Amino acid sequence: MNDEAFERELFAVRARAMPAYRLDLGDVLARARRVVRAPRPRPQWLAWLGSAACAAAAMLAVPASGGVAEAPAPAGACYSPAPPREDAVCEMPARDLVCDVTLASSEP
Amino acid sequence: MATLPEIFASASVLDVAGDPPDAHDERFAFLYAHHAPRIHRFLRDLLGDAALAADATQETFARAYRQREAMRDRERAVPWLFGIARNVSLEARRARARASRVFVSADAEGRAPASPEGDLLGREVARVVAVALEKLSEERRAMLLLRLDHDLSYEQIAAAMGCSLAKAKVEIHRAREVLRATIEEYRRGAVR
Repeated sequence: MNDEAFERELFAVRARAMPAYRLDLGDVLARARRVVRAPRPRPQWLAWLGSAACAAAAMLAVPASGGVAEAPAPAGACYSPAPPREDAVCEMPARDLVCDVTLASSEP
Repeated sequence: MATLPEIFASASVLDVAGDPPDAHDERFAFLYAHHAPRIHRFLRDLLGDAALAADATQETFARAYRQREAMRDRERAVPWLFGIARNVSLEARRARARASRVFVSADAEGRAPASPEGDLLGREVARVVAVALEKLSEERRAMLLLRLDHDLSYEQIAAAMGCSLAKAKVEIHRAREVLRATIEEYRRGAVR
């Protein structure tokens, strides 16, 4: 008897000494048919709405041509991290704006 | 209703295409009856708890039942089942944070009748094997069990464990070295 055959025999002897397993197919099928509820995915339209609101707020915060936004951006809207300059020329491109808009409806 | 030998002789134990639902359940019932004791023993060795292993066995087959359409090849059914069982065992271990230990309880409930000598031998062997298994990592232990206790080929073990064939061979080789060393210690009287 080679080593592996001997080792297999050890496991076989051990298996014979173990308690028999009680089959319960009904339990298996009941478990299998139990509805597994996956977590509901967050609606995609909420993400789109958040993005659109952020983009709109960014556009409002940056003057269209050469002007300076007179009033500071309202709370909850986008703001520029750079302080206003005396020469009243806004050089902050829209992509550098930081958006801190958080829609309550987008919270999980 | 087909007899069990007829089911077993069919091209695929889990070939569900075109079969009425009753046939699916019939084949699954055969698969369960044939493999549940082995799966339970495997899970018991991995989890170290007979009751937890019983629950994990039921869960393994419940998952297999849900995914049965993905498995049509009888050759792959066994490693597939062991692969599910191992995933279930890993989840059970994580969930309950149980220490990895090998079940060596001598509960007599449901045990197959054996002679006193056979019983004694079985216990003694179980003790030596348990000592060896305790020295192995979970992964190496699972591979050794699949090879020596459940007679899976290296290819099937690699499939069940989701690793390469080379890795399966190396891990089993090292696990067998540990087993042989433990047996040698037992012969010298070092294993108590």
